[in-house]
Amino acid sequence: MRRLRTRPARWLGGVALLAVAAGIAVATADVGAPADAATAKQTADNKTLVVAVPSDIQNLDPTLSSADTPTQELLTNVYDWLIDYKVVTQNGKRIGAPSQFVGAIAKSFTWNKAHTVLTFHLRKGAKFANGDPLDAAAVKYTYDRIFEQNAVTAALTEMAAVKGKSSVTVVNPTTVQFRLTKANNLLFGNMAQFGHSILDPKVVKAHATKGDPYAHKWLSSNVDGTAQGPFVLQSWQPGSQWVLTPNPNYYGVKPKLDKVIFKVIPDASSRLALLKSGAVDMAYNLPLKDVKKLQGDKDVQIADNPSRYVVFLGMNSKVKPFDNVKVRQAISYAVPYKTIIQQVLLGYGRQLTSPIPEGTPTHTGKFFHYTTDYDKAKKLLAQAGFPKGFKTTMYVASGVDEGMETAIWVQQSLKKIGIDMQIQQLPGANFTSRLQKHDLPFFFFNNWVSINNDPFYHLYWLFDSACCDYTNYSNPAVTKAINANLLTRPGPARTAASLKLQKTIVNEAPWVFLYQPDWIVAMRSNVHGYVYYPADDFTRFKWISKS
Amino acid sequence: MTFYAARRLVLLVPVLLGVTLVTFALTRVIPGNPIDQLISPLASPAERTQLIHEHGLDQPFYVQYVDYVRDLLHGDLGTSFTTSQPVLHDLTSRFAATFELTLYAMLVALIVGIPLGIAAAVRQGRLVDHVSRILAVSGIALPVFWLSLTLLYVFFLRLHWLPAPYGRIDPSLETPRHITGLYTIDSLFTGDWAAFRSSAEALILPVGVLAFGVMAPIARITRSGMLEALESDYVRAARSLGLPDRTVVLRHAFRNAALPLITMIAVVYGYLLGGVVLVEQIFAWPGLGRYVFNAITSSDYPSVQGFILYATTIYVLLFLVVDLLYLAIDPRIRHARAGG
Repeated sequence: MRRLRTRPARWLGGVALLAVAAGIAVATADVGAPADAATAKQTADNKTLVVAVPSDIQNLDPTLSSADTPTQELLTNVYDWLIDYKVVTQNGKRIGAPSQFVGAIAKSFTWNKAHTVLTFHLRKGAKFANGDPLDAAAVKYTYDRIFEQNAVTAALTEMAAVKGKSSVTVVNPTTVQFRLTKANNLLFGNMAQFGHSILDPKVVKAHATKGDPYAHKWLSSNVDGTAQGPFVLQSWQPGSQWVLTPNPNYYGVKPKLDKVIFKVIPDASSRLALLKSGAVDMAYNLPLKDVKKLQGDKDVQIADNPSRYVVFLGMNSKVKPFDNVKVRQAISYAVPYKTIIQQVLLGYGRQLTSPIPEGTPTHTGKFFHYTTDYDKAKKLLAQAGFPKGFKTTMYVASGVDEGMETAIWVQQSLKKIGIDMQIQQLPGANFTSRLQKHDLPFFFFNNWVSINNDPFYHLYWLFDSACCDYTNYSNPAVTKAINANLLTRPGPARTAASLKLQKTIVNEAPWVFLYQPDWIVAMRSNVHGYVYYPADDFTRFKWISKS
Repeated sequence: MTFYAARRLVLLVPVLLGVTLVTFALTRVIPGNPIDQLISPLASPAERTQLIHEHGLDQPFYVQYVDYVRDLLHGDLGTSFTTSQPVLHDLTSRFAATFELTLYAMLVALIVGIPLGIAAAVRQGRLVDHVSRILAVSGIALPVFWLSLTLLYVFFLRLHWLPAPYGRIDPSLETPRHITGLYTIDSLFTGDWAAFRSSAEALILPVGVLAFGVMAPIARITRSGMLEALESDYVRAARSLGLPDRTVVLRHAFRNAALPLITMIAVVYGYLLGGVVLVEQIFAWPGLGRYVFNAITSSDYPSVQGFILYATTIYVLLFLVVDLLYLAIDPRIRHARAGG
């Protein structure tokens, strides 16, 4: 036992020595480094694009993917679907028009006269990234999988009157037909999304198991082989980064970049620092204050585009006192709309003037009559039976800066009409759960975009659906009009119905209509070719180049 | 001693079981629902119910818990709702990142903190003592995020001496082949100098920030332990025997001051593992702290449970090592145990 006593000292000494060695190693590595690592990086090459994103990608199964932007943007860059948005020039900028469609995997498509049979003509010889044929059998298999999985993608396809597996038929190896039970305007808007990614049956079948016949588990974290879009996912280090490289078998526009590296940089100020230094070429989700400051930086450009997002304060029609339309109107007259756009959005947005956002067909702002008018608000409140106001609480999801700032402005204004409003922040998951139970009485709702750019589709989800009528708004006439027009072709009758609905909903004020924020991407000045897609806001990196 | 260690390891089982029960209950009490994060907002209530059923979240609490423990016994920590990966895989792949960061931070803190503490004690009330006190106070008082951002501003944005807060390695470099999971070590083994330099550079600022924070308690505890030891009879005796000052300070006094220090190191290391989340956030470090932070905010039950299990195991093992070190260093404890 005696020897044991001397051992620890020696052992400690050893550790200390090792530590010193390691310390010296780290220190000398520093001394030996070139003076300017950041600039060295920047000039590295103009075929590699580095993008700073706030969070990692998650579940990659196109039909059951997670609902976060990085994942869906990834899917949009590695998969294609039968059709895609047409790129048009608008006000000198190229955008992916959200209501105009061209063939993608399908070279072209034709409708029958009644608009109930849709025939897709596929490209001859098209291939998946792994070389497998991208043919009618693959399309059929993809849609069979969608319908059998019976998740959101299936529901949306059926909503557009394509009712199940038997509605999709293979005519010949390059021709597929879709049959609709009713002519409508929803199918393309629903089809031009990642849920409709055409998958390689061979790859999916190879990873299917008895309990998981559609290989959901494998597809959750893989796209190898079955990708057929402009890029393939070359590598993914969870929590850290993922890398896209061009798909050599891609049928369409060849990407100009050799590599797109996505770095997960969770901290917004780090993303800003990286962009300013040139260590990354693009940065997502920068705080608006920083965007404003970047505007003077000649090395950085801001792509600032009007989005179709609707941001509103929801007032729950089933909860007192918001069940009283006069209370909702009074609040709508007491909100400082212009101040919020100037102070919270710093001007990066415009007022929302209808339940249907600007940018969606049939939108009109002409029925919007709410101004910031405290006298009118007080009168309405008195008529509603609250001459002295009342106490209430506004719920905001934590981490949403715009929500908190808006809430503070609204709090100040409501005080002027006697409403004593508390602000309560709820953790994200808690807020979402309560929102989905429709039991938040008064809340800040951030960013809804209906990817399908159809007015009735949009109204259906937000005012009539079981999932998303978060304010429990219900007016039988509105429900009837939505259902009567949801599955119809565009035309004067549909437009008239939409205008009438906008008038009613603005007047009954289930929401305080706040704003449509701009979609902002900050990038270095040497990045070119960015095309904005108002349908979903995802960047298509095939257009991007660097000089 | 082997028996002692074995008994402690066996005791780990009930501790871990207790921890799983508490964590399991807590994650389910906190409002929020992992399914909401998993599914499109457009999903119908029926689909939502179906998914809840598939994940067994509609089962009574005790059924869910028994299932969980049964899976645990098979080494299955469940599948993360957010990353869709097995939780065990998630944790091990991120552990290396956090371990590399905290290991170097701890080493730097010890290399600087211990000599500083000894010097402050030996030259009590002199300049070095004051400097050490100022360093210690600022190490505790300066907020980690502020220090991190300031250092980044100076050394990265202004001076360009250090690389961008990219995480562990420059994204254009290949990561070194996995041997230990520590990039600096793996790149040395494989002789990949570019990767070694990049990963070492990436470590400097986050390690510096973390080390600065934990150096303070180490220096202070060394100082107070040394002060006590230096005034003790055995040191006086050693000095009167004419032993050289160096021997007295390092051999006799420090040896005795080392005991509380070792406990402190274990506590501080535990704190480092937990407190690393802000640094990981700012330096885009793909470690455990950030992983569990995301898991908590998205109600990702299996990940949170897995992490706590993992952290508990590490804590318990850490303190087991501390106790064994005590046994090895201090003959009094060893003999008392042998006698009893």
